Amino acid sequence: MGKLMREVAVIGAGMSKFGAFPDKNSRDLFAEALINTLQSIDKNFETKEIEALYLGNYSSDLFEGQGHLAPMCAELAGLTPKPASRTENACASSGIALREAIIAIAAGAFDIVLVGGVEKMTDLPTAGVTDTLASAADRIFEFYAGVTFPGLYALMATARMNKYGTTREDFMRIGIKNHKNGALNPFAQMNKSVAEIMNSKIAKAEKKGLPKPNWKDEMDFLHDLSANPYIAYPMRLFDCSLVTDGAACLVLTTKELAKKYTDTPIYIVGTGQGSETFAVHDRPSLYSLRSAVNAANMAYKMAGVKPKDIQIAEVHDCFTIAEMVAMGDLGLWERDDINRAVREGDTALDGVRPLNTSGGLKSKGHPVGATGVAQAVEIFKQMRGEAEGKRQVKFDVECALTHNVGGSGGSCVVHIYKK
Amino acid sequence: MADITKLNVYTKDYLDGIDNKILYGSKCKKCGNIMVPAKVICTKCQNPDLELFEIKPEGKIATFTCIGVGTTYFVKKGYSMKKPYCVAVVELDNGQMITGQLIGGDITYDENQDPLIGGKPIKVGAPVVGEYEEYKEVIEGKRGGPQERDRCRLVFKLK
Ligand SMILES: [Zn+2]
Repeated sequence: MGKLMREVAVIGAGMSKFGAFPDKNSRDLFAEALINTLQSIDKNFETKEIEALYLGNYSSDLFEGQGHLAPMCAELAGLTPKPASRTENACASSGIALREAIIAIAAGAFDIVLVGGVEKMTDLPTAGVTDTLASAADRIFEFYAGVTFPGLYALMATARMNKYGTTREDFMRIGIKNHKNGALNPFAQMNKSVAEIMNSKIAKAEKKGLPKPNWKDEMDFLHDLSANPYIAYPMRLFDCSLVTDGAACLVLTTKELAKKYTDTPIYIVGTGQGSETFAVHDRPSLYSLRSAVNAANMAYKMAGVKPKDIQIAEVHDCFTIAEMVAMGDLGLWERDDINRAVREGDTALDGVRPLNTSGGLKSKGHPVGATGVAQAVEIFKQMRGEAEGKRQVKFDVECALTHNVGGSGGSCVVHIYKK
Repeated sequence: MADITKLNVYTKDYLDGIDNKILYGSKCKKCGNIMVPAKVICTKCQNPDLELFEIKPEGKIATFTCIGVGTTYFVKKGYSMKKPYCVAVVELDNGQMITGQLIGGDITYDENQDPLIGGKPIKVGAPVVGEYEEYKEVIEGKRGGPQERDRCRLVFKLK
């Protein structure tokens, strides 16, 4: 157990622009991501070499009234009649698709696999999106009690505040940091810093002849309950990830074949997965996910690396609290050191270990079924020095990690990457 | 190997209990593990041979949230961003935890932007007591259209 029979490499990675696109459906989003992915492969690649598709998608059934997306997307990629499978583990759907594809290659079932993730969320009204997302949580024991998806993470946030003295300002710092990164990412849904958003609101008020808001700075703006209300106390609007349309793809192959297509493949050296109780109230800790701890331990062991070796990571910040939970569960910081790390900028683009250089789910956007693969796309770009704009980290990344959580933590999948 | 034919506690037993204003946990006949809400297989030893027991819905707040953007059911009840509702995870006196709405007045925020219920602060550790709120559930009937059914929800109040 715990070793891949064949080593696996990523030779291409790309994503669609993330955002709210009334004119694009799942097909269009997937096609956009596929084209960007194929264009990222350096040489000698022909689409017909792909042997199978693994596609992550949470709930096109409820979001768009269209199920069974895998053969539909395989058809777009010209793969018909090759195998095409869909994985569903809530927001970890495409992280799991990636893991299943790795296992299939390692087992020798395929040599070249297309992995994708797609979600079209913005067709439904907010209440419909809220209910669809909440269906990833425990219907009988949580949903009926009134808990929403932000509510579940809010429960973890209150618990962490109470245990470790985390403040609402700490959550705000994470939001500000991720927006700052997302502002540098042309694929991000909200590619604006919090300051830019604040200033555009001031300009709008002036234009309309309304009283000019007197926010002193970003923090002051985020403290204003009219600008940044509680969606689920203590999680405010700017603590929540976005409702997003988007898709992302990767092309995987074996270590041996990879050099035929690129001189700079990125190797996936560790994969791990775990589960956690469905309901938050059944967990031994209210601010840690055993799914993530287990997935991380499995991936670290397979990769033969330690948390201290991880130089950058894309972690599942569906809510700002989730980034703090991840920092502890992945062993990247001691749990009682996380408040300090957030306050002192350890996780910033120029910090000791940048987290979510893409802008994270908070600012890049969170098309749930596409998120896991989109995280790997960012790592691929960062490790090859190809991240657009000024978000490319200043040091050579030898070892990186992605952490993709499903639901309120019921699923988690972790991958570790090396050059 | 556990004998699965011994499976004798079902999720329905728990839900029927709530409708009859009884909170049920289940107890493993083999290892004595206590589970609330009632589970169908022992979470420690996977033994299916469990028995129901009644437990008082009393304890303290383990964590909580005040929800502004609610589920459809709560939005229909009149809750909104302007009228949030509170949901708490309650640690019962035996250490088990359960989720329920905290009732007892409107949710407001004080000058520190911390939540109050009926003017009283909501704090982790605050003692609470459960009660049962009656409601009508509309179910899509197989014959003769939608039907109404009397149901109960377990909710909590500050002591
Ligand atoms: Zn037992």
